[in-house]
Amino acid sequence: MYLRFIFSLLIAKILTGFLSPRGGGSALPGLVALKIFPSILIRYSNTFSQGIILVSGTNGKTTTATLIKTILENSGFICVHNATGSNLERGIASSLIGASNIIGGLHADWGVFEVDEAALPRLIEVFTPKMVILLDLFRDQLDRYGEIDSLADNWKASLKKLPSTSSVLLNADDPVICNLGLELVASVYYFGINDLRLTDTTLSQSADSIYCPVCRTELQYKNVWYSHLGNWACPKCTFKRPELTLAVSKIRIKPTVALSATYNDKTYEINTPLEGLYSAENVAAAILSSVLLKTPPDVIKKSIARFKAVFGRHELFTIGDKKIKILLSKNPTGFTQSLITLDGLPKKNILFLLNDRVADGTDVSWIYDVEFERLHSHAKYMTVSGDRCLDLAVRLKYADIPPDIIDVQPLLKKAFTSALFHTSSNETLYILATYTAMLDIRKLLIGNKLL
Amino acid sequence: MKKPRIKIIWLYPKLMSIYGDFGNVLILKKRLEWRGVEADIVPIGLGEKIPSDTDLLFMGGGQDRQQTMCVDDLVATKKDSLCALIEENTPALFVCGAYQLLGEFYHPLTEDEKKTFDPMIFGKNYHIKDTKEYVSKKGAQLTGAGVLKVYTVHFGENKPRLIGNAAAEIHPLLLVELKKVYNEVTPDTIVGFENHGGRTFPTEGWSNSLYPLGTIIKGAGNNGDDKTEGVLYKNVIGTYFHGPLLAKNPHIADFLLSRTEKLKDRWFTLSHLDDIPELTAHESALR
Repeated sequence: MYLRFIFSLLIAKILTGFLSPRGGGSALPGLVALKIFPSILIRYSNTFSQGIILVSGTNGKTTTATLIKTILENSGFICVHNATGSNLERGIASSLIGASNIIGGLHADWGVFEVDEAALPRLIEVFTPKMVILLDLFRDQLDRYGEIDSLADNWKASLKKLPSTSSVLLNADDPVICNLGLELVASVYYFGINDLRLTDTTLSQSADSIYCPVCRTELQYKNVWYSHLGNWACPKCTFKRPELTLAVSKIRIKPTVALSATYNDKTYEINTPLEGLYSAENVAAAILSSVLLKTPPDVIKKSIARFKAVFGRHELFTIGDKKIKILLSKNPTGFTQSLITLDGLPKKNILFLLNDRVADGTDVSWIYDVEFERLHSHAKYMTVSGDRCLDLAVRLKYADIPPDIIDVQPLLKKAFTSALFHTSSNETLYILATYTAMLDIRKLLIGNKLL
Repeated sequence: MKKPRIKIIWLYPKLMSIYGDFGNVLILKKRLEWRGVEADIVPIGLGEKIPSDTDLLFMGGGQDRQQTMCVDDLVATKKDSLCALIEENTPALFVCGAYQLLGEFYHPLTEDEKKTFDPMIFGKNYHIKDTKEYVSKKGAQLTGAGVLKVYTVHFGENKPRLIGNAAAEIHPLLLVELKKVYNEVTPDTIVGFENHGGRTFPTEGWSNSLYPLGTIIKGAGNNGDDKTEGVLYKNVIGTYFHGPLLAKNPHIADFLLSRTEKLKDRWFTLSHLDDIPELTAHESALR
């Protein structure tokens, strides 16, 4: 068995060396190693001096996991992390192999991994992580993940197996996530938003989980932050949003998010370079995990303030005197949040990229749950591209967006050139892209040296 | 002449709205507005009655849990008015989960039933028994509204979910109608995306008053076996195609609108819409 393990490492290492000069291929070495030695991940479950942290949820896992990793590194810990967002077993195996020496030795304190929603139960069982952080569950890729309820059931079954030495950090604002905290042996902590100035009380049409996960009565909301996240309570049974272990309040959204985080009567003022209200939830999760790991407050504050956007999540590029910002927008909630981020900005130049490959979800009907209607008053020019650009063109038509400001360009390079041409000097072109489309446009921007 | 106002009833928008179903009602409303006809979308949820002045009905798909939640309410508070409206030729569109619930029953097959299952016989001979007895991993059996004489069975782990892009050639009887209300060069196909575990069959077989919407040319359709997709009964369309269905099938949207009581006699006085983006997307989905 040991020889097989070493052999799988060797092959994966050779592959990594072969692939890395060309970029990408981050999941392949792991995939091959898993084929040769299927239990390779178990080998690594006890090699960290501190333990393993898993982060999952529909939206925000890449940003949250990277935040936690950054804070831990700034506290002097050595971390292994799946930085490229490759979040299935194979991606995590790749990052572990990359960090270990040829006989499988690994000198690291923490493993901080973002995990695909469907892969989470298996990885919880393999790793028995020290900490599991669950952010939210929105409708996403029904063709691949199935329905929210069955995904949550699978999560719960695996969380129940965690011992009392593990911690589970849950977003209290999401009723389905909250429900996972009942009946666990592990310690449960809740984070969420407590900002009474956000007074929205109506749920949007595309909100997903508005029924009590315990008794199925329609939930009542004192406040709605966005989608189905808010301060909720069931009018029939006793299930309601629990006391928050860590609450964020006094949230300022523009130009970037700033907030106060309260934990055990202590309040931290945090400035972030991140945009959008949803970033407040991700930051809350990262702060809670850090304070539980006894990180000094100034390290948390500085790490978050200096955080750099990761991989297509509000990533900024510059071409000449024009700026380009990529906003990964991969499901109704995320996409609508991207449009809300653009709301107050004058003269918007937008390039929409809609793909329907396996990693995007092959069903694009979710675009009808995105609030494109927000665009009609103030969009200047929009270009539509990607595998399913024709579907998006129809969606925009039914959002009553004038056809003369929409340019449908199936070819990505052409679409980008045209969108950039229509962006005036000193303006920003916003690119809202699904996952694989985001990878494609980054490749075009970086690989072809357009910069 | 004063233009009418069309009342579109959207059944269970909070429970049964999973596959961009909002799109179907939006498309119906916009296609009326662009023709100068005002439309109201009226959401009807648990416990609420269907208004008698309903012009058009829509209901979409839901998650298993939500579907179970609304089926009892559907039978208790809405079935009779729904049947009355449909028998009076009110147009309606039922997609995916709604299509199943409007049928006679939804039943997860037992191991014994799987062995002997014959779609021609099963529906006719089957009688809903004590529900508790039949709860399986794939959900309880459900008594549908019975508006459509079809039924749905589930093979559990034995047969995979039917997921993917799909297309069907429209039934000739419907095509004749589409040529009248849409135009001579109407597409003779429908396109969409399907994602369902249940297999649907006609209880008493197909006839000239209950026939499949079309014949599958891509994807699986009703049951993955007999190449049929959806159902047409009077002015009711039941289908597994979402996408949403009406986005890339403007001819089907216009068929439903033209069948409303208030518009059927003046349909030809209303303007024809430019459907270039819709038909381009339709064309591309056939490839």
